[in-house]
Amino acid sequence: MILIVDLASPNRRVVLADGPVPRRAEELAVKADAAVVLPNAIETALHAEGRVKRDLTCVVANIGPGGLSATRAGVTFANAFAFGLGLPLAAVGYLDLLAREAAYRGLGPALCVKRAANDTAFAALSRDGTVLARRFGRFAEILPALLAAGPTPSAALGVLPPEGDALLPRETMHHPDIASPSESVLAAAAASAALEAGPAFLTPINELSPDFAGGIPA
Amino acid sequence: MSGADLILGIESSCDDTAVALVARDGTVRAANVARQDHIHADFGGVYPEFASRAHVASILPTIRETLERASAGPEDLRAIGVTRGPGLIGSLLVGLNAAAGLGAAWDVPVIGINHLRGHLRSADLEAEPIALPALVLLVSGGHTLLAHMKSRTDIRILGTTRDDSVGEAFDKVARMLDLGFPGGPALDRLARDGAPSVPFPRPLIQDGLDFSFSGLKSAVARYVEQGADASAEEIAASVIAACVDVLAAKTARALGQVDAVTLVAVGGVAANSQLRDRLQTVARDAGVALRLAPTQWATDNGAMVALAAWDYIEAGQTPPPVGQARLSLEEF
Repeated sequence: MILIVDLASPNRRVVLADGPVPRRAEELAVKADAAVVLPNAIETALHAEGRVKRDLTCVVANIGPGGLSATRAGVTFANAFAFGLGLPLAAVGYLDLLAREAAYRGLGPALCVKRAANDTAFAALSRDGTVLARRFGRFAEILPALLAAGPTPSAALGVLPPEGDALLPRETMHHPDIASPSESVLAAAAASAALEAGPAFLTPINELSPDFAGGIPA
Repeated sequence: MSGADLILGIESSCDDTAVALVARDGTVRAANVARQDHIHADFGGVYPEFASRAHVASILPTIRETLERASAGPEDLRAIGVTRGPGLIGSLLVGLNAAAGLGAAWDVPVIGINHLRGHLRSADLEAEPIALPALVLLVSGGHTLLAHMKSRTDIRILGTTRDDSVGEAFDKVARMLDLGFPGGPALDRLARDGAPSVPFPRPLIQDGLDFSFSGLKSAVARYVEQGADASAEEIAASVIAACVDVLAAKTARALGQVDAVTLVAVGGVAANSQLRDRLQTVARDAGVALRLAPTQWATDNGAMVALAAWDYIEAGQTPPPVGQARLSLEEF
């Protein structure tokens, strides 16, 4: 059984999954202190499934990009919990989860966005659930580069910067209700990531992460 | 008697990721610090966002290494103590969540510790217990205060800084003199080659037990901007002399007001050689014993947090929840 710690999505939660199938999710209150609520949420989820900690086989964390404090708290907790139990760790990324979500819902090519500070954003262009290109910067400046890297997106998912809607191509429909990946997508992505899980500790994605610091791949 | 005779202490309130394993009697079985000086040197001070990121990267490797050094595992732990504040929010949350994750995995209680309480207990590390009641002078990069410790669980603040801490003043003066980061130790070294020839102000030296160092810092800035006659060595010596005069005067005044058999000096600035010399005189004049935190445990460290956590175990107290809600020094 896989434990997924997702504090980078707007809907913060822990999810227990049997392979790619979600079994139990525990939502965390928006303002709750992660160090206080995470242990209880995991215990509650395990108890509800009639499982115990030793039934866990892997810990997967959403490493963002997401809210700075929440993502950092979730990743640190996941690192410690997995280390404590001697379990392998794996990472899933917020924008990659949104890309999978777009494919899961049949939305076509998608622009996946996480708003950051000072009119900046992390953004990715995806097709068929795969990210084609990703960038960090002022949304107005990175959007043209992303649009040039692949098909015109038919959907925009995630959390856009203020007035980001106005910058989208006419063909792109913003889905503000799809800001967090569904449990099904989260579990499927976690199951894939778990295949390559290891002992290395995870760190949150930020603007200096290799995927964002570099240019757009050809 | 269970084999769980150690507390794992985790300190991440500022820029050092510090971890230690400490026994009930203050014996440090292992201690480890991941320093961040190289990350913050270009900024001349701690850059909070980068400090937090570095904590995430270093905290579990530091914990793992500490456990390995002591050949210890979860079965050896009575509890986990972790700093819950005061400090940089982004740095604190890393330590808190690391502790919470380990506690949940190992079924070990997690005890949140006030950072200042940790400092106040640091003089008992690897040493005979301090005779109480004691007057404690805490002087560090983030804090300057005098506290009356009647017992390990009964601590009252007598005076604190109204603005900058003394360590902060040292760091800012060091920046004015281009001494790099961290500036306090560099200022101390430079001062050894200079005479305290510049009559900088001694803020609040005649008044009460509170401190104020921002005026002194501004006076130094004005002096430097106006084309200082004195050398950098003389300026450094003069600044330290002014601070030491104030700290010694307040400490002597406090000793005249409270019942104490020991004077204790803790915190990073307590490693300052001039301050140590002066406190010897203050203690002798007041007829009390002087205990200085071992230099190794004067700056932020995990061992002091672990020892403070033992106080909760000894007192049979229910550990406070490990959230980021404030926990004052006087609260137990």
